Amino acid sequence: MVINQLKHALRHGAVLRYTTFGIVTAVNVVFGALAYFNVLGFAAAVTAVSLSGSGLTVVIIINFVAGAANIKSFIGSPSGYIYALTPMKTSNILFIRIAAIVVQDVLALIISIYGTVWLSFYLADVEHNFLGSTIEGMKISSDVALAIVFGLLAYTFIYTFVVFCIVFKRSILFNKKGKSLLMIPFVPCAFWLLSLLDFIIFPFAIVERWFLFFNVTLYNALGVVIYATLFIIKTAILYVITSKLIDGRMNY
Amino acid sequence: MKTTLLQAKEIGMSYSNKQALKKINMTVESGKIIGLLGPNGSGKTTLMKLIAGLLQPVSGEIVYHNNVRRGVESRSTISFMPDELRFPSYMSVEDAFNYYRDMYPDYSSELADQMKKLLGIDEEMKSKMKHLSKGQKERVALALTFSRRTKVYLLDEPLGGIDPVGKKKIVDAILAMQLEESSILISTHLVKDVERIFDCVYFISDGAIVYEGDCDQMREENEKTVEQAYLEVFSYGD
Repeated sequence: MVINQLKHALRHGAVLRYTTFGIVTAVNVVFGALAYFNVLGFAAAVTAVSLSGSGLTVVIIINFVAGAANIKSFIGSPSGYIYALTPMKTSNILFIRIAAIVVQDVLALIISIYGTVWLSFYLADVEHNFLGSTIEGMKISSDVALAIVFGLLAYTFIYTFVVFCIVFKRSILFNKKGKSLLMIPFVPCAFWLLSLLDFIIFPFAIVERWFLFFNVTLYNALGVVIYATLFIIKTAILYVITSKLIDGRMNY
Repeated sequence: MKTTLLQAKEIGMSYSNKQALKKINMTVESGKIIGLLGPNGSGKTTLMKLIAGLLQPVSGEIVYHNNVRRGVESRSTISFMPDELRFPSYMSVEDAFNYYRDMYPDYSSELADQMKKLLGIDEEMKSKMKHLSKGQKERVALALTFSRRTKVYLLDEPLGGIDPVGKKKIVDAILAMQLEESSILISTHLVKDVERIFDCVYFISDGAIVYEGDCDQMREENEKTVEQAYLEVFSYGD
């Protein structure tokens, strides 16, 4: 039955239906590519953001805010309502939802890694063979690159801010006196705190992408294993948090 | 032999500053079709949602079959039809039945097929929820509710906004699904359309039970229909 439930969650949990998937993937690709050429590093120095992996930080925060908003909107959605009627623990329902989001993250990551490498070679002044096809590079001026970066940064922060407001505003709306929905604001907060875990990934991400650039598949595989392990750890922590805070206390 | 499937003891519920239910006591025995009747805003849906486990009462408790309290196990004994079909609009009717098959261990394909035939929804299986009419949605919701082999079936306003032919189909289907080992609790304010199938009724007003009684007794001893008794209780200034 659990397998059926997971299959249902992935089939009907709208893994690929949410627009955040497309937006997150696109942002992943562009920021990742620009980070390779340190263009973002230059912009980061201007905006006083950390030099190493700053694009990646923004991207991952977007990922998790979007994920938190996804979970939050799910709780109040028709799907959340009908799941609440099933003979399943609330934490298991949310776990399935989280699993669907993690799958979404992984798919976005796979697409973004491929897209990042392709875009990197395209932007660079090199010709390179990548996965069987030849990419002829182009040189872009630093002015153009900066314009792209600032535009995307502005878009990213506006998007993050809007999602953040939606998540927390809706949490406040669900706060009913004396009812356990007071716990709900902690769910998106938990996501934010757990996104800090991803700072552990950064050194590995940079190393992994550097080796990708030189097409060293062994280190590429190691990077993927590290990502996968951290996703599993993150999912387990989220499950424990939701089961402690939410189980048996939801009101619809 | 009758068994007690559900007992609500001194149930109280409030939303913000409004008290929606005041010390409700109710017993559901097996083999009965029970009416929960009252005007709009009287607390019927709140009581149904409490029994279904969607809400927690602020006072009192609900005891389910085999002395089970609210939780995962209690949801196994209840099949709830809410007043509005709440599946995502992109799902088809077939998807909804697949959902029930995936999520409920007591789902019965045999019962589901029986209900699909009774309610005439075989041809709608590929239709998306967003394309169904109000009447079609009600029939799908009812078919899903009765596709499970469980103890208590809760139907919240199953006849709202339905044409007379649709109402008769739904009422006949409910009657066909009555079993000795289970019970059906129906909340409605459309008393005339459904009173013929009730074994007993509870009248609820402003969050309190104002009358409870056996329907046969009401008809024989008091020589009143349920609708007449309802109008007497809920008429104002007459």
